[in-house]
Amino acid sequence: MTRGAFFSPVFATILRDRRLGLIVCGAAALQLTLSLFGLPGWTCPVFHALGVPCPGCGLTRATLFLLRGDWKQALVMHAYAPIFLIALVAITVCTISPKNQVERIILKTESLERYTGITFILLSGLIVYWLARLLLLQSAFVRLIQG
Amino acid sequence: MLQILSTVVGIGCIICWIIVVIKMFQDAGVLHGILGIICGLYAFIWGWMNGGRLGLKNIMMIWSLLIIINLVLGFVGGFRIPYITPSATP
Repeated sequence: MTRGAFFSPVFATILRDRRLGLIVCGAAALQLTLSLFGLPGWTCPVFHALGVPCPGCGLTRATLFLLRGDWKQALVMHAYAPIFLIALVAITVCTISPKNQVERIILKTESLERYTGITFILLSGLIVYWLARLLLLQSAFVRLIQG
Repeated sequence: MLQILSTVVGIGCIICWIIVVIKMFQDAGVLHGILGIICGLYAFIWGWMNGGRLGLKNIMMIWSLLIIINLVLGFVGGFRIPYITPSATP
C-alpha cells in the first residue's frame, strides 16, 4: 500500500457528490428522528448478529445527547460524536449551498486530506478507540450499547 | 421463534454487509472500505449507489429485504427481541 492510498481524499469525495451527500444527510436525519422517538431504525449488522458492538455503535445516541447539549453523556456514549456532527453539518452545507460557493471549501478539504492524512488518522483513531473499549471495558461497553 | 428468526436475519445482513465492504475496498479504496466497516449505513447507501455498476443489485435487494423483515420483527416483538431494541442502533 502506498502513502497515497491512505492519504487519498475521502471526505472531499463525499462533499463533491451532491446526490450521495443528499442521501447521507437524509438517512442520518431519518435515523436520528427514529432514534429520538424510540422507534426502530437502522440496526448495526455486527451487533445484531454477533452481539459485539462495531466501531460506530452508539454514535446515533451520542449525537442526540450532543444535540440536547449533554456533552458529558455524549462523550461517554461515543467520543467521536462531535466529529460525526461536524462532518454531517459540512455535508449538509455542501449539499444545499450553490455549487460555485462550496467548490473552494471542497478544494481546501481535499488538499487538507491529501497533505495531512487527517481522514486516515481519524479513522485509524476510531478503530483504536473501539478496540480499547472492546478489550478494556468489555461487558460494560456491550451494556452501554444495549442501553 | 422470533429470536431465532431475528438471528438468521442478522446473519444474512452481516453477509450482505461483508460483500459490500469487500467491494468498497476493491473499488473505492482503503479509506472508503474502513468507512464502510465503521458505518454500516454508509456501506448500505454506497452499495445502492454503485450496485448497478458493480453487479451488487441482487445483494442490495436481499439486504434491503432483510432490513424490512428486521423492522417488522421489531414491531411484532414489541421491540423486546435482543439486539433489535431501539437502543441497539448504531
